[in-house]
Formats: sequence, structure tokens, C-alpha cells
Amino acid sequence: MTHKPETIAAFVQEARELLAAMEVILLQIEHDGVDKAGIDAVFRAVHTIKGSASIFALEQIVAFTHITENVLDQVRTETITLDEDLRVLLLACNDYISSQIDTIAFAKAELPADSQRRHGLEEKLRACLDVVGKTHSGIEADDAGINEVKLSLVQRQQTGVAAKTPHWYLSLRFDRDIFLYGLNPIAFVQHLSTFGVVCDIRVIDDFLPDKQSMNPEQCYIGIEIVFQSQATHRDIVDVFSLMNALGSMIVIAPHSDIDAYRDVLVNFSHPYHCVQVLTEMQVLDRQEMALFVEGIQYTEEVQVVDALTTVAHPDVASAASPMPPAAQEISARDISEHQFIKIQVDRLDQLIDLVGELVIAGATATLVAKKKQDARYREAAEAIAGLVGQIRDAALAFRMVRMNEIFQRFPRVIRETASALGKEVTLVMTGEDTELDKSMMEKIANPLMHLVRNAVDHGIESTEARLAAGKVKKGTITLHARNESGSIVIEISDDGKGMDSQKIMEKAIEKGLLQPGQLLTPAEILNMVFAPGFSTAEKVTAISGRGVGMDVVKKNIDELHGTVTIHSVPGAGTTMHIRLPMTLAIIDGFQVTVGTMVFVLPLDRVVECINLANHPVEQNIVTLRDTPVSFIDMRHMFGLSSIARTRQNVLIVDYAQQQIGLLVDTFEGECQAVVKPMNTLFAGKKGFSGSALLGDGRIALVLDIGYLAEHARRTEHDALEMAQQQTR
Amino acid sequence: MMKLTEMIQEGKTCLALSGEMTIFDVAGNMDMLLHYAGLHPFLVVDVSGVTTIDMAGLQLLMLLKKESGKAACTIFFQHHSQAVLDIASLLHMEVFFDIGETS
Repeated sequence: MTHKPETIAAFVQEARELLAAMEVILLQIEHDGVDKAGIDAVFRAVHTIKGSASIFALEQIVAFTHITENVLDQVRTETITLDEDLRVLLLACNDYISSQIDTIAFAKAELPADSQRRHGLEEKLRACLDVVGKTHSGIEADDAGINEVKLSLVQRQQTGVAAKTPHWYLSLRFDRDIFLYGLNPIAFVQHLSTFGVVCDIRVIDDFLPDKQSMNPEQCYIGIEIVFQSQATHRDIVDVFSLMNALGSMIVIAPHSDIDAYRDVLVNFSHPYHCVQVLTEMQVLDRQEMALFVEGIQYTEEVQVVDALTTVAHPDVASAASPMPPAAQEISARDISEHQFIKIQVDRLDQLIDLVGELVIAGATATLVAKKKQDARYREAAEAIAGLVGQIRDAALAFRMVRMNEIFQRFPRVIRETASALGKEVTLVMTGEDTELDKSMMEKIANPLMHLVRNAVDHGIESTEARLAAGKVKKGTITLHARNESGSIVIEISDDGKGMDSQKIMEKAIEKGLLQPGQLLTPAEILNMVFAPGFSTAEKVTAISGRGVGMDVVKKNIDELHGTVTIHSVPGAGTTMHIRLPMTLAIIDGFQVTVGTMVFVLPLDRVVECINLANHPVEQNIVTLRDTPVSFIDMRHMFGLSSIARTRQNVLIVDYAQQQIGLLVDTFEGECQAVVKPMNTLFAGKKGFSGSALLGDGRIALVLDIGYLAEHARRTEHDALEMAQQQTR
Repeated sequence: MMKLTEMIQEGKTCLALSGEMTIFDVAGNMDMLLHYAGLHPFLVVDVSGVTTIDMAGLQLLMLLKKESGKAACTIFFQHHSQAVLDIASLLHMEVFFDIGETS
């Protein structure tokens, strides 16, 4: 049986996501103990893989997942306890299924299984089931679990909470042929207003066909009404009887149960639209809407919550709910399993490219508007610029993924690395919610993995050594991610033995990377480990220490315009500090000119603009509110003509908690810049991180603040040394 | 009888609708009206001559606007007659008819 490659690819991706989620939960269980919701989610993951695999007739996966599922079902019903052995077995099953999925991804079909591995696992799984067979009457039907899920949804549907609205709510849909019978729905509305007040009304065009299939003599529209009246239900229905029942009307009395409003869903083409109308017409408030959404049947619930959280009320999903905590958790997991739309990456890239072009075109329009001096045109151009900015942010947000995507791989890595080395290590992770550009995430994953392995292998000492040093037996590795002035900072710390500067020096000299007697700062010594061909491990282990890692780590980070620095305290531990720009595509920039050149800086790096004449200056140091800040003359730096300046403009920028000044000619103000990579002609030129096209068609170079900061620091260092030599 | 007239106003195409827009008029005029959906990026529709409009007529205007929107074109209603103002007010469709805005 053959399938389209893209459908197989979709299956592979889904299966991988489910397996990754399953792994996370199984590892969480090790930490937090067995929880019902977690086991349910694992069960559903395996069940879903089995279901999808059967569509593709992937019999081996179906057969294997079937047994795994049976065992998990017994765990769910608490016939089997999920002990350490079973957890390890389930992780091994997860790995086996993963490897099968990888084969499918590669070969687009199932290949003969790794039968020995498979039989081993199957036997262990069967052994679990056999134990049950002896103590329990037998295995229940496969679908028991699914029934349970449905049941919980049906129970949840009854919220029993009354809506606060004091008005009637009417939802009308008409028979297609109503016009031909000479009836006009407008007459109904007019008649209704004779014994009450129509507070709000919406004409619904959900079922209006496109022009090809439109029959203009048929009625496709519906009407929603919020009605204030002392009339009875009977009175209102009687008005509608005028229509000779040519249509349907849902009448909801004031203060009805929220559940009653769900009847209206059928009158809309999409639940989201229903939610939108009920919200706009203020029929249900935010909390009530949360309950309303909760009770919508499973598949619809996902769509509605999705639409709601993104459009109508960003926090509806987290609003108060009467469900018990466990049920809430299940629903949260249900949603997280289905909340996403999968989009091909190239489509997304195409969108980002187009948004980039739009930003440039928008900037051009703003520029023309400024020149034209037409207030209305300018106003319109500004409105467009505002929207373009929002579209840009939204489009870039599509590419942002949570750090968690990488972090979730680490517990397993650390656990396995540590057990292979006979060490005990605890992993602490914070800031998993920090977001990073998807393309960068892929490139940073491997370097991070390497650094984490290194920390376990070289950083954390053996148990004996730790006890001897008076430390706790268990080592700790901390992974931390955070946003910091337009960058993402990732820190990997261990509480191990720290790095031995002396040893690094010796090794570097031995490898010919350093000349004996050469003087280096402590930071420079530590940075030697990033030099190609450097490895301090006395024995090469399978985990790290082949000396091919750290230079590659540094190279990968450099490619992302990031930096990596090391802080190490002998005996207390090491921290690797990685700083990455948040995205590479489009930035909010600040434009300056130097001579005839235009430069752009990332706006979030700009701290303030000053006139040098107003502050005390000594050589290249300006004192700003009692703090000395060194500045660079950009003309000097880039060798641009040096005519006298009328005003000494200095831009203060911030980089890695260090402030530097840039002496420029003029400040041009804020702009949006689409950053394009530098032409190969500029390869190796330092100081720029890219080029940007401006609205008027000029090219601006984007300044690499990291390099400038380093340059400033070095100049200062040199000047200091020179001064010291002079005094000698 | 419903009537469609194409005019040029300040160098721009403008469509004037007049007469009755009811169930009796829609079938004969639908194709002609919908021809304008997506024809111009920005089309002003003058409804000053509309004497009567019912649900069928309204439905046709809704389709015109919806189809134009699909083609990323804007329809702007102006010079509303009393009949149009009445139906817009009754069904809270002021926004749809661009009432309270100037072109």
C-alpha cells in the first residue's frame, strides 16, 4: 500500500509530537509521582498513534501500540501500578516506536522490524498483563477509555449556572422559500418592537452562498435579537406564529442556564462566529462565556477555545471554571494536544518575506506622505504603518516557539548521561516559556545539548569527590532562559568543580594554541576551551571529551550572531552564558547618519540620545550622571570624512549590561528595518550584523552592537595599558 | 423597478442604485449588480434613489459586499435614502451601510 508522501509526513510529525509529549509526562511522573491526568494523556497518545497507524496499514506499529495501550489501560484502571520498572519499560517502548517512526519517515513505508528488540519489549509488556490475568478477571474492552473521556465531557456540559442577562435572546432562521410565500422577516422585527425594546440585533450572513450558487429569491440570512420585554415566552412565540412556522426560532428567557445558549450553536456555520456574536451583543459576559465554551462538544470545543484565546478574549481559557481541578487538567491537556494548526515552514517563510516587503513599502508610503504635506494622506499612511507594525509582530510571533521545545529533551539526556557515568544529578529548569525564533531554535539545540552533557561529564564531580569536598551528594545543573533587552539569554550552570585555569593554560600550550609566557585575562583563559582542537578531559569518554565539541558550539552560536561566555569559580561550579538575538528577520531600528552613510541599530538597545557638549568629556569618556561611559567616534571607526560637526550627538546603547556611546552626525529617528544577510563581499568585515533596505531605497548597514561593545572595551584596555607603560 | 447606473464622480467610478429593491426585482438585477463585486478596488455605491428595500434586496447588497471583500475590494455606500436609513436603523446595520462616515 502506498500513500502520498505528505500524508505520511503528517502522520510522522503527529506521532513524533505525541511521543515527545509522552516522554515528558513519563519523566514528570518520576519527579512528581503518578498522576491520573498524566497517565490518561499517555494512554491517549499511544491510542492516537495506533489509530493513525492503522489508517496507513502500518501493521507492526499497530500491533505494538496495541499491547502498550493494553498495559496503559490497566494502569489507568489501577490494576497495574506504575512502578519504576514499568516506567523504564514504557520509556523503552517510546524509544522503540520512535525508531519505527524514524524508519517510516526515511523509507516512507514499514521495514522489517528490529525483531529481537521488539520481542524483548513485547514479552515484558505481556508479563505485566499476565500478572493482571492472575489477579483480575481479564482485560476490558479497548474502548473503555474513550467512553470515559466522552462521559466526562457529557457531565461537564451541565454547568447549571444562570446567565446574568435580564433580556430575552432570540435566534431566528428562516425557510429558504419564505420570500416566495410573500413573507418578510423585517415585518417580524417591526411587530416584535411593538411590545418591547429590541436592544440589539444582528443579521447573520453565515449561510449566504457565493454568487455562483446564489438564488436571490431564497432567504439565506438569519437574525439574532436581544429583546427587553415583560412579555411571556408564549407571547413571543405567538409573534413568530405569524410566520406560519416557516423557519425556526430559539427563544431563551432572561437568566436562563448558560447551557441553554448552546442550542444556538447550530444556527451558525462555525462555533467561533456564535461566540463572537454572543460576546459582541453582550449576552454572556467573559466568565459565562468560559462556561459556555467549556461545554461545547469535544471537537468544537477546541476550535472555539482556539479562536477565543486568539481573538475575542485572550484570557477566557483561564477564566474561572466550576470544574474540579483534575478535570480541568484533563481539558487543558486535551486542548494542548489539538490546539495547533500545522503550517508548512516554507509557507510561513514566504509570509515573513512578504511582510518584510510590506514593511519596506509601508516605510516608502510614510516617507512620501511626509514630503507631500497632505495631512489626510499622512494620517492614512500612519494608520497603515501602525497596522503594518502589528502584522509584522504577529507574523514574527508565528515563528516563535517556546524554549520548552528544547528544554524538554534535557531531563532524559541528563538522566542517561548521569547514570552512564555513575553520577547523581538533579536538573532545575526555569524560563521554559521564553520564546525564540523557530529557525534559531533548531540551530541552538545541538550546542545546548553538548554543553549540558559537558556539564554532567566534566562539571559535576563523582559522588565520592563531592562528599570529600563537603558538598551534597547530588549535583545540580540549572538551565535558565530569559529575555533581556532584545536578546535571549540562556544559562547552563552546574555546582561542580569549576574550571581549572592552570590546567587549561598547560593544555593550550601543549596543543600549541598558546605561547608559554603569554599573558591572558582569566576570561581569555577560559575562552581557550572554544579553540579548535582543545579538550581537557584526561580520558575520552563516549559522552564528551573528543575535543570536537566546544569549537563547534562556539561556531554555531557565532553564526546566530550570539555570544557565549564562561564564568567559573574553582570548587563552586561553572556557568555558560549564551546570548542570542531574538530574531533575524525584521527589527525596530534607530537610524543615524555618519558622513554620507546611514546606519541602523536595534531600537531596544538604544538607551538615550545626548549632546556631548552638555556633559563633561575626557578623551573618549563622557561622564553621564556620575557614571563614566566610553564612546566611539563612528567616523574614526569607519574611516569616514571628518568635517567639523555642528553638534556632537552621542547615542548611548546597552549591551550585556554594559553601556557604550556612539558619536554620530545626526539622529534620524525610529524606523522599521528588514534585515538581510550581508553579501559575501562583506564576509569577514566586523562591526555589521546585516544590511537593511530603507523606505527611500537607500541601503543602511545594521551595526553589530556586540562587536562595538567589545571594540570599546578593548580600546579602553589598550589605552589603560599604554598609560601604565608611560608611567613606568 | 430597480435601476443601476454607472457614473463617473471626481474621476472615480460610482454606481447608483435606484427604485425598488425587493423580492420582485432581485432576480433580474443580481448578475448586473454582482458584476461590480471585485471590479474596482474601491467602489462607491450611491443609494439615494432607493425607494423601497426588503430582506431580499438587503441580502443582495450583503452578498455584493461579501463578494467584494473576498476580492479585497471595498464597497462604500453613500447618500442613503430614507428607505435605506430605516432598514439600517431597524436591523442595526449602520456600520454595514457606512452611515455616519463620509467618503
